[in-house]
Amino acid sequence: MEIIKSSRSNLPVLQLKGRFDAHEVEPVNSWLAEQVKAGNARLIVNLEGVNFIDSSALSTLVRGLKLSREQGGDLHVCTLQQPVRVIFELTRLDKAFDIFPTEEAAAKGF
Amino acid sequence: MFPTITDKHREMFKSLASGWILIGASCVQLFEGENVLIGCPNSIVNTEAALSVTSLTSGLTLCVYGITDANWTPAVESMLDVFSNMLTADADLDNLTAALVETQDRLVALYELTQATRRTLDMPKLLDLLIKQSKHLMNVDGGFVVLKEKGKKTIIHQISEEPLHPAHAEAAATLYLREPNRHIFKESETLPVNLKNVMMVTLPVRDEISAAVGLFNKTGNFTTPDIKLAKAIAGHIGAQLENAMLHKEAVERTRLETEMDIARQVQTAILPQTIPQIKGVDVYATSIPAFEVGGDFFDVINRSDDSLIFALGDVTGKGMPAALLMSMTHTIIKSASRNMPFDYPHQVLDRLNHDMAADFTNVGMFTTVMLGLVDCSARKLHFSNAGQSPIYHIPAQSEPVLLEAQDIPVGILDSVQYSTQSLDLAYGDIFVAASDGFPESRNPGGEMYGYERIKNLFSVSRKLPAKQIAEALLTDVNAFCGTHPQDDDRTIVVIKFEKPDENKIMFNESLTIHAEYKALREPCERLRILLKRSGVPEETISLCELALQELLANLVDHAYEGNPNGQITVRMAGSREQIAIQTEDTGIPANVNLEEIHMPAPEELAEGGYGIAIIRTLIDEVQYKSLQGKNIWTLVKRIN
Repeated sequence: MEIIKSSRSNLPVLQLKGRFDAHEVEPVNSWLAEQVKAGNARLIVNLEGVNFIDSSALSTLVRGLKLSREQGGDLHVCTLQQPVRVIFELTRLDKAFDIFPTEEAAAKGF
Repeated sequence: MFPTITDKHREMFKSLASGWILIGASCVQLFEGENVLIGCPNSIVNTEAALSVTSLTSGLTLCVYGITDANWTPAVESMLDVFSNMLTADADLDNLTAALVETQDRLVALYELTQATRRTLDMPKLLDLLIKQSKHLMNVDGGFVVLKEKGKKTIIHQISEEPLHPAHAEAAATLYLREPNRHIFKESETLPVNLKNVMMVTLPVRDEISAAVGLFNKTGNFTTPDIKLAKAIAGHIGAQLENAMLHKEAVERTRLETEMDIARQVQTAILPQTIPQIKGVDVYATSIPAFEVGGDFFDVINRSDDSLIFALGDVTGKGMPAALLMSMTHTIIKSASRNMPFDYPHQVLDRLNHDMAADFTNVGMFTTVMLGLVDCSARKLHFSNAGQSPIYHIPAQSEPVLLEAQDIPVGILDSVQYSTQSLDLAYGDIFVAASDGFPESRNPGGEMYGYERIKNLFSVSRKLPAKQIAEALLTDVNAFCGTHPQDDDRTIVVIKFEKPDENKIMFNESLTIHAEYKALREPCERLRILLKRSGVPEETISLCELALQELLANLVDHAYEGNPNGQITVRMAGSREQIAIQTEDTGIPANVNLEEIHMPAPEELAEGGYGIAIIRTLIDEVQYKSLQGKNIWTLVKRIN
């Protein structure tokens, strides 16, 4: 999996590409923890390039969501491919996250 | 005993006697008892008075005639002493020479024996040589050899003008084996009547054989040198005998191996190389012969477009005789199945039994046979079982059932009538015939694989295609046996009844990975490729891939607790009807009640617990079994 760290409207964005599974969660976990620790509680994870996501990856995102909300922020996910969206729906986590069609919408959504 | 009187003795006697004649003696004579040994002068017989002295040690008497003065007696005594000593010394020398000559004789004889035995590896000839030489060297009436080996008939070999009763020879051997440090037995003891004396020595062959050589009726008595000589001969022949036995065994072994090779070739040649397939039945059959070919056979024959005959049998015994009878049996089944009009399989067994009973009885063998007829249009399976075991019926909707044989094996009774049983087939039903080589396989601890393990294995492998059901069993039995060699053939026929056109296997493969996250990608991506190639819709592919990923990640976390040395085998099989995924690991058994697992509620924001819930949501059938130290998960996804 490829990880690109960027920002939009001064909000940290993590852009992921490829297979997001148990083997790949560690750097994402670290990034989420670092950002929250640095006081950036509003985070965006762009899943545009992700074609496969498993329950470990989802759990990592849930952890990030909880960390950011505890600091008064939120974690927005955006640009989900169809198979990834299906899995969010399957686990009903589409009800837990705010999901946006674009990165721009995710930034504006805070 | 005194030596022969030589000229040297006469000369000496003459010179000593001449002294007496000078002082007036008429004649001097030396007697042994009443016989004159030497006289001087030679031929005069004197009757006149004489001085006569007899030696107490040698028993010789010296007479000096014509002299009566007793003062001369000491001189007569000293002459007798001188002469007696000389004769005794000469006698000793003679004896010594004779002994030397005899020893030389014996050495020469031993050498000749060595030369003779080097040229023969034949056991009776060696024993002949042993006895003949001993007899010749020790001057006895005869000799015998007794060979006793545990569990075998005692061998008695003898050479003698008047042969001993074998029981007498054995009795002497028993006497000796009880007291192996004693070698000489005399008639006064417990010897049979016609034995005056016997000398016994051990014939050193090999530990498991006790062997002894006996020599009997020596003129005079056996002596210590005789024992030594007999031991030397026996030692030599014993070593040669052992060579002969080893040679014989090697020849026998080679013969057996050759026979086994031929038997294996016969068996391999007659077993079908390809298995015919008909619509609606997934058939697989295979046979793994043991080193000592066990006589298993199988066949699968197309009878028509929608009926199939299959047979599996096991001829008793091993090697060439089993292979020959097997090939005859197989030929009759094959030709009867193809050409004989019949409605039920027992008719073929009746015919087979009728044709072969006499042949089997003649060699004291028989064969078990299971003959089945699958009728796809009537959805029936008819089978007749002459003593074959195990046979399993695995209904699609219930647990495997072991079917007992209804009839006795073929070749035991000519008059027996075989019977047929019939099963109604539902789609997904499986019928397995196997040879006893499976349940009777043993592990190094001597434990048998048994019927229960087979049944348990079928209850988890039933979703797989016929070939994989058979292979899963072969693999499991192999793993169970470990280093214990395969004792008997393992033969199996698997018949799986399926909806026509839906039994087509699109893929069927397996791979083994280490239990670590980074290794999970390979089987998942492989599954994706296989499904894509089979035309499965993209959405179904994604869901199957996710289910496999979740299952494997769960095994990494819980079965092996993150230990990457653990191994997971993944089997993937797909037909047009369904996709089956099976994993096998040897980690910690799962303690899970699948029915109780639900997707966490979104508001909980749970950081785990999604994996198995995802699988349950995506997969139509999820099964977990812990079996003989292995954990087996089976996922079945039906394709609409």
